[in-house]
Amino acid sequence: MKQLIIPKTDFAPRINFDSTNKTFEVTGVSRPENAMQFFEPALNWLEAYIDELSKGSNVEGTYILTFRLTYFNSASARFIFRILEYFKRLQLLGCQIQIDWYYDKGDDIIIEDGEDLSKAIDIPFNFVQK
Amino acid sequence: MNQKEVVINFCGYLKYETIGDILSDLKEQISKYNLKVVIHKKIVTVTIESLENMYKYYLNVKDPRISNNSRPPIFMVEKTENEFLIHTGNTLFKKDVPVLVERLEIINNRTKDELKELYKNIITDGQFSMKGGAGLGFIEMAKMSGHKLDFYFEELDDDVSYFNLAVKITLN
Repeated sequence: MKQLIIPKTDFAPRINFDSTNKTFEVTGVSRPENAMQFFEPALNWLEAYIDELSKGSNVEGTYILTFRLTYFNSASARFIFRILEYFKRLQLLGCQIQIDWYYDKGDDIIIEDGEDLSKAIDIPFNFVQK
Repeated sequence: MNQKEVVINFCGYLKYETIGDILSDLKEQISKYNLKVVIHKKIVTVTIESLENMYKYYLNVKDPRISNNSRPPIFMVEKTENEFLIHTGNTLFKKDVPVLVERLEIINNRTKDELKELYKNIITDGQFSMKGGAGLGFIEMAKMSGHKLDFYFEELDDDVSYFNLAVKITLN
């Protein structure tokens, strides 16, 4: 599948989904004017990707989802959770997944956000200081 | 005497881009206080959620009965020795007040853990007793604050009220 790259702006994160390397990154600040509109291409890409994998493509290797978010608004939270749901589906397909949650030193809030999302999706995250 | 200092004051209708401008100004103003990362983040989070609520709400109420009203939206941050107070004000239809009151009272009667649970329930399956995206924003503000959301309404005329909200971020 073609790589998905959505460039970063002052209010929306960079999205880089690379099916070849099995790396999926969400980086920056997330407070887009319309969160649904912003995240829709990413969710559609993941839907198509999982559909392809479920038809018998090679599922070997580790699928790494990396969040390097400094802030995300409440509207974005729903869609970040939707991305996590796709990774849950990957896991259920038998894929090895890894979720890395990056944080700045002293930012207990983004750490807590990560912990809450990890509990909500029931997948352990790796917490990594930037 | 607990003196108050106005950190930033905005009055008027918001374009989406204005949110970024206000945020930049605010960050510049609060940089002189050498705040801990967590306090800074709380102020920024409440600011963004407040301004986005004001912006989204305005998009929903482009009605001459409101837009001709002389009371524009306001956003203000004040600082005292021990806390920051983030104030917002905007018009709304009087008929929408009871629903908003109920929503805010539900939030104000929740512990931090209960608010987290409520937040999680909404983002995972969208269930909440009220319609509209603003519910998550108020929950997020309450989580950041750790205090009750302080609100009151003023009747401007037969159809229109003004919603005043203050969110407290303590420094300790």
